[in-house]
Amino acid sequence: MPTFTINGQEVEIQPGRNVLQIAADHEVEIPHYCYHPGLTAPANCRMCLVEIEMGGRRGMMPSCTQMPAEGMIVDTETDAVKANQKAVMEFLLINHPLDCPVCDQAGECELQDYSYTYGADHSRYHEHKHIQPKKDVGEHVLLYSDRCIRCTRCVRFCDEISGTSELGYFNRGVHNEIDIFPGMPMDNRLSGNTVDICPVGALLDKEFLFKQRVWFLQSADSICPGCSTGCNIRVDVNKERIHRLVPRANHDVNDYWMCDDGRHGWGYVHDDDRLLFPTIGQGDDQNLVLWTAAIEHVREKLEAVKAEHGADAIAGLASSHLTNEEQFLFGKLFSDGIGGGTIALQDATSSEGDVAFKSGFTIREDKSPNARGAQEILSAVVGTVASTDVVWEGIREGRIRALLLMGGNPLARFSDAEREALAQLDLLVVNDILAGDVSRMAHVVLPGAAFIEKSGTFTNYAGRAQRLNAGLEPPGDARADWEILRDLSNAMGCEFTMDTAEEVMGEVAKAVHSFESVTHENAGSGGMQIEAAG
Amino acid sequence: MPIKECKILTALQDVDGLADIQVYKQHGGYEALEKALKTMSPDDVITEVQESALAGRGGAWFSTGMKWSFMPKEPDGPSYLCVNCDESEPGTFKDRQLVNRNPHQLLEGVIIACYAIRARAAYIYIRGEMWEELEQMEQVIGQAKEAGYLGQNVLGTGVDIDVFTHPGAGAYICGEETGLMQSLEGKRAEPRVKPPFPAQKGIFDRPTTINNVQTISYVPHIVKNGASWFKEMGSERYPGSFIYCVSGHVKNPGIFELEIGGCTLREIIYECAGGIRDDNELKAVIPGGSSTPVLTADQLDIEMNPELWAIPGRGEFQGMFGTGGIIVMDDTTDMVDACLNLMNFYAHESCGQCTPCREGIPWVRDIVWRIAHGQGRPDDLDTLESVCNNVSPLLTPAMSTICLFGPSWSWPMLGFIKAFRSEFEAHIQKGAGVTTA
Ligand SMILES: Cc1cc2nc3c(=O)[nH]c(=O)nc-3n(C[C@H](O)[C@H](O)[C@H](O)COP(=O)(O)O)c2cc1C
Ligand code: SF4
Ligand code: SF4
Repeated sequence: MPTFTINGQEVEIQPGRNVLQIAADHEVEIPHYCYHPGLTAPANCRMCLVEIEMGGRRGMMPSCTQMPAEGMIVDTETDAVKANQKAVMEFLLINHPLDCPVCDQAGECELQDYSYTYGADHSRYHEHKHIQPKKDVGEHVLLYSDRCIRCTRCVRFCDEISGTSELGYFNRGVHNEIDIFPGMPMDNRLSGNTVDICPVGALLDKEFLFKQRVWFLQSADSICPGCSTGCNIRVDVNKERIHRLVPRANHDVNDYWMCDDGRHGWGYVHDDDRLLFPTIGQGDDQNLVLWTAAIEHVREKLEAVKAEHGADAIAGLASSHLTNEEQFLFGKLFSDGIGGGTIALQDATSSEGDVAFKSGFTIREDKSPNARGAQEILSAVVGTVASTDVVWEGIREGRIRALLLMGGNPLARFSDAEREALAQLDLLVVNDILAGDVSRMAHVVLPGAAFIEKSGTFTNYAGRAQRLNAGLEPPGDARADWEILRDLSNAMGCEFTMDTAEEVMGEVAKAVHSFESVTHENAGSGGMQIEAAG
Repeated sequence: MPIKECKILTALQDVDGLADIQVYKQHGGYEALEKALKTMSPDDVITEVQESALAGRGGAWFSTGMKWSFMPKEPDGPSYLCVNCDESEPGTFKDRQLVNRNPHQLLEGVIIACYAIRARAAYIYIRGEMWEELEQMEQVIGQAKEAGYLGQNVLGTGVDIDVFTHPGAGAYICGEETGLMQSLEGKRAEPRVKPPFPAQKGIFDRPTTINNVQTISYVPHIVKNGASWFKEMGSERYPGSFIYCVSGHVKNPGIFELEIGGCTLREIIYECAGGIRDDNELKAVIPGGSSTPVLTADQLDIEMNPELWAIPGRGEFQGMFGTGGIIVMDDTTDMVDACLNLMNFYAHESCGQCTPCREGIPWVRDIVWRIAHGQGRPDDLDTLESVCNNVSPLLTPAMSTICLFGPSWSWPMLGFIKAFRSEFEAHIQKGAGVTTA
């Protein structure tokens, strides 16, 4: 491998990686604004200039566009480099409103952070500031142009990633301004990413605006449950509430991006209709009970149906919103606990099909985050996964007398015909997170957890097992679904002792060939590819 | 030293109807083209131009032959020539004369250059305000096409060359070579980061050579008369002639084509341009377009030979030779006002793409405005110098901006302070106590 030198340290040239990236690989931070690893580099902010010597010539070059070459000498800490960083900071701040106290970005602002590290502690600017307006540029996004440092990341995002080019760069010199074209808002379904990549507080999420100081936020790494792409996300929470979802970089899945549907799709988690306590009894007769009572009640009723009609009279409808761990326990409940029965998998597809963008980023037709994992695990545990038609038919024909409806899809709605069928059942157990028609019809309601309230893994469309981590407690008495399923299985005769979803995955790995090497540890923060099903 | 007139490009200045191909041919036009295409290989032409030591007249004085030699000899697709006729540097008005008075001379040079660098097409990017010249150029291209000098199979040699005009987008930065290319592609004229250089990746991402109008206009003469003929004139490193544009407080402003090195700046002002108006005292001279640092009356005896100047020749003389746009100011001129006028221009013309220039030039302009309006502060000159040094220190290669527009204002600003510090200080003192907050 050819090498070059960064601050006296000999480092290897990595094909396709620029000086800034390789420096970062070796813990040398080069400050920058306009450069973003997911976009082309215009080298316009001039913050990342470093001294480069090559062929006897030494000069300041942008490290974001400079590719290393054998024998090149890069120095990132010289007086000239520091003087330039200080100068660029001064230039960027002279026309900036310095309204950090009311700016959402404060605390995670590169202008603010670099100002501490590289800037000066006073201003020598005595002129009038050139002030730019605040603008509404799209359904989700505001642009406070006065804070904009014209790095053009947002413009490049719309040109290169979404391919929708709604944002432009208008006027000249200090008057130049990011804007939309008249009457043409930024309404692409990736627009929220512009807020993430804006290094300052210029692009703002309307939903997050003025809601939180970012230093109060705690975060949990998770997976967006919005579709089978499985974008890696960070969930920022505070005081028992989600405040925003932002993408985590993963080159095997979502690069640096997520879609607006997923980003803003978490409202149901804090819905007033969240199911908070287990109940027994239908409609107005629903009574709050303790978990032990609820589980015991389900056991009694299942045993009764089984005694009268046999195990085949019991069916389960699994949701692809359940984690791999939960699918496994659901399968085990039937195979080992009930000793038979039928399991079907509810899917959720969007009528618009896959929606792909210029960069290849795709919002998938399959709206369930774990269809692939559910299919693989359930079929490994129970043999065949039936179609939902078989279940509905069985109910209508009176063969199926008890139904466990597990892990509702917050967006699913049952048809009138389906609701009629449900009304015929001797036993309807609903595990869900939101109250609705179906939970009101249930004989037993077992309140479950939303994606941010539980740990586990989802398998995305491409067969990548990815971890979600709990960032909030489920509300009220609601519980993680895998705990409910473990207890229910045990009530039906199983002897599961696992205390964490991770331990459940240990069992999955033993039982399901394609998950053989999957552990939470192996899946790490970026997920891991499961073996091809064999 | 008597001034040596040296009319190569302007020899036919006063011939009527020179835009008519017949008239141009009567004066020897297109003989060079015939010679190049029929008796020389493309590399022969490049060698001839290289040997002539022709240097770019767009202001940077880069070797034209060397620039051409960077172009691929066996291109895997189209290569292009761009002709820079955006001429917007205040004080510079030679290119306009050349396209206006002798458009075929330029076109003949363009076709020969295309042949040499194996360009499939040339784009003549003409400043938008030069509408008449643009229309005339199109007529001229039509005539040449009809005569078989352009288009498919030029002069039966099997070579195809097309020439197009393109109106400028109305900004000074469109004249910066990569800004021009962006503009030609229909984009904002935001200069590109180099590398890649135009010869690797120019217009439409293809290898491109860009030359100034005057540079290209020399080509037919060099091909026709040979490199050694050209080298007989001018200085050793910078042979040939140069067109000076004298404007400002002189009796006889205009353009003067002179031998390079044949005279001093003072001689051009007093002999060619007739001296100072109203026989006033000369106070200051901007020697080569507004981007070149201003000189004082005692600096005028420098020979007009770029070799001797710090830029481009790295010579002793601490000045920049530039584009030949000589702007003369007499003793009625308020230098702070003059400086403000220039800084207004640059503040208006920065493309705003890169931080130091976008933020720096309006800051500098605003400070100069305050000083000029009696609101100067004691620390203003320090601030001005420091801001300019953060962009590019005077006559040094260090710069923090993407393109040379940064130095194009930081150098003259520093030049004004260096040459006329006491005048700035006087303005500041006059305004002391009236400072803005
Ligand atoms: C801000 C700026 C403006 C420029 N404007 C012009 C121009 O109007 N005409 C021109 O020929 N060169 C201009 N140049 C120089 C060109 O970038 C380029 O060097 C020149 O066209 C090359 O031609 P030459 O090698 O024949 O001189 C400008 C450069 C800068 C930095
Ligand atoms: S709005 Fe933000 S991302 Fe866009 S150019 Fe301005 S600072 Fe950069
Ligand atoms: S130096 Fe000025 S003109 Fe040149 S790219 Fe930067 S902002 Fe634009």
